Amino acid sequence: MRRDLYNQSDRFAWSGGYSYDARSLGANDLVKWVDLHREQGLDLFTHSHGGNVAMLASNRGLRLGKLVLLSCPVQFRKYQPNFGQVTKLVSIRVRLDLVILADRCGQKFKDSRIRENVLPIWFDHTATHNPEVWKNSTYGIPAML
Amino acid sequence: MWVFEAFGLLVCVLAWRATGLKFLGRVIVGTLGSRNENLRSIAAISLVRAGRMAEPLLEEALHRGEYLPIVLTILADIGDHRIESEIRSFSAHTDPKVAEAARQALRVLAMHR
Repeated sequence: MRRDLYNQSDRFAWSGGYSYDARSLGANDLVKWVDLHREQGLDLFTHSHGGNVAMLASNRGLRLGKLVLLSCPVQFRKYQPNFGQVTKLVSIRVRLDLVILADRCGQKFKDSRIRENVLPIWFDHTATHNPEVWKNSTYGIPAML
Repeated sequence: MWVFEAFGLLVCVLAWRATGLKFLGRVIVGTLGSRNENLRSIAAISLVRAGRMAEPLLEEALHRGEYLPIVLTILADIGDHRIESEIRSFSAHTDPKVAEAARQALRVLAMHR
């Protein structure tokens, strides 16, 4: 069992902003945070553009174990991982995510190195970080990881 | 049902972008206070995409002290340096979430340079 870093008082957070600059800043901060905490190789669960922050960070020296992308808006030209820095990439999303639609991003990763999983849930961008969805055995999320 | 509200919001965004009618823009800004995270995100994304067109409405919200953390974040993402001093005035706000949002907003604005 790995340590739950999210449950610590000095956990990593970024602004959650809606621009490339905010994400780029988040990526720089993430690289620094991981170096400071000596957590290279950690597993990261990200939601929405948090996944793009992590992918940017992987191009700036961040080494990851598993990178789980929950409802990640796809803009592969702008945000793609350094595959050599990540052991395993998993995407979990819903059908026709309305927030991603409003953001005019893609819903699906087309690179076969990112394992795509689509839950039988429609429209809800928040469903993939809902603990009830994770606990519901009909979705089988743990097996996707 | 939030899904119907979301489709309504998307229609409202299209109508506001096409007409510039302020009351439509205020509906979108008001959605930043929604309890539903989907609706808040759609509103925020739409306002950032509208850029300068959204600024007067966001400044209104700022002056009224409404939805402060997210409004500060959106203003920084739009990237207009004219409002930098206004954002700075929130960096010592008594609410730590507002103060942190203002500090992050200033960092994002600095990235735009």
